Amino acid sequence: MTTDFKDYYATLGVDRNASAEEIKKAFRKLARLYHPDLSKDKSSSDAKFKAINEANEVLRDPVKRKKYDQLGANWDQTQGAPQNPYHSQETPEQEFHFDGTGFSDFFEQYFSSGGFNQHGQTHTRASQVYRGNDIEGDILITLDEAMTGALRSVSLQTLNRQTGQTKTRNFKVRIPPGATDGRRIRVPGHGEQGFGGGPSGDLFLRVRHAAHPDFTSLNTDIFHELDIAPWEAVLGATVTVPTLDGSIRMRVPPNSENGQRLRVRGRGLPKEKKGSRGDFFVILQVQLPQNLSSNERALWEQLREGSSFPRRQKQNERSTTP
Amino acid sequence: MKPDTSEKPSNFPVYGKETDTAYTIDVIAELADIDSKTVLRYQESGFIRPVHTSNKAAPLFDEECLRKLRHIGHLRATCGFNDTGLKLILELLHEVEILRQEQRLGPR
Repeated sequence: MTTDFKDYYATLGVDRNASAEEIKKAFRKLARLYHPDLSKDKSSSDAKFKAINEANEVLRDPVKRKKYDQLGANWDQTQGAPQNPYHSQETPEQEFHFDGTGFSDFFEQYFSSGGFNQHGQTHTRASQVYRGNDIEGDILITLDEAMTGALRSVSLQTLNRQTGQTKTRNFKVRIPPGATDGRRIRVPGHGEQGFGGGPSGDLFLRVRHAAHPDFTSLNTDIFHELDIAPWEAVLGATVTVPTLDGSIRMRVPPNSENGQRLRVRGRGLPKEKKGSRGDFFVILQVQLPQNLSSNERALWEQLREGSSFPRRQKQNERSTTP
Repeated sequence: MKPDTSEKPSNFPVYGKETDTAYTIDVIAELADIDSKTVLRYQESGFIRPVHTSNKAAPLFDEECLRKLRHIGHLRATCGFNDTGLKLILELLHEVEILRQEQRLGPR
């Protein structure tokens, strides 16, 4: 099956030697422009966002990035000759090809995280009847879709290698509200064909949350990194924080530490139990001011002179004591 | 699970509707093509966990248990694991999944 090569570095607009931090920044910048939850023009931004997210999925993962860099030079020569476990979507008799999962053919072929694992029995005895293998693939959804649920069109093309026949099946998959990353959605009868008149296996689509510029998820909890000034951490502050369903005002308590988490109960993704939701966590990131004005510098110097910051002084005393 | 075809105007079948199907040990054994004693052994080994039921004498299993049993059947058929090897490989697969998730989404 022919696959077009994707230049992920060009998609993110970064150099091939870009650091992990540069890739993260480039993704966040582009994701703010094209993320379906944030973009005004959803129809045109959708394809662009998928491309950005896919590039980010590969380049932020050191193992996948290394593999991609190796593929870069001779990717077309390795096509059709899978060398790694990610290529297991091809069973001996059949080859599966997806559309509508949010990943390109190139990604599915080389980087699909779970691969298309086959479950079920292997059939070696021709006289018996066997159920076809189950297969597994990934489906990429945005956090907004995970929040409200969605209906996604998926196209599954199956190539029977023995007969050379290609069969395309179209269906829709209902993403339930609160679909967590890693959850499997069963599509019955769309796995590998049965043997000796046996039933077909099932297709399992494993939910993958698309990276969001502002939020990350873990099960039904949502996390947001909030940049705060040093004085806000020390003195406390009231800040406006975005969530998946509108902004909230919250209080940063005095003497907050860098990396400290503040929990807002019940503002995460919906749970299976109706009416119940996960939590929303704000992770405080104390940012030091850059490019100080002379006035600001004077204030920091004033703070230094009057500060009773004792920690290092005590450490020094300990280290000089015989 | 029967497809929900109520979505109009498209005629594409819709899958993924939540079901509360629960199977008895004999039914799930037949669906997974193994015997009931093996299902019981896997339950005792902690490979599958029955859904909560008020009658503890008759455990009921859900769709996820069926998927796991078929997965175990595949591992046995292709790799020839015994129960000890199976326990190890299932734990490792679970750990790999957690680590992959952490790598993708960051540790929490």
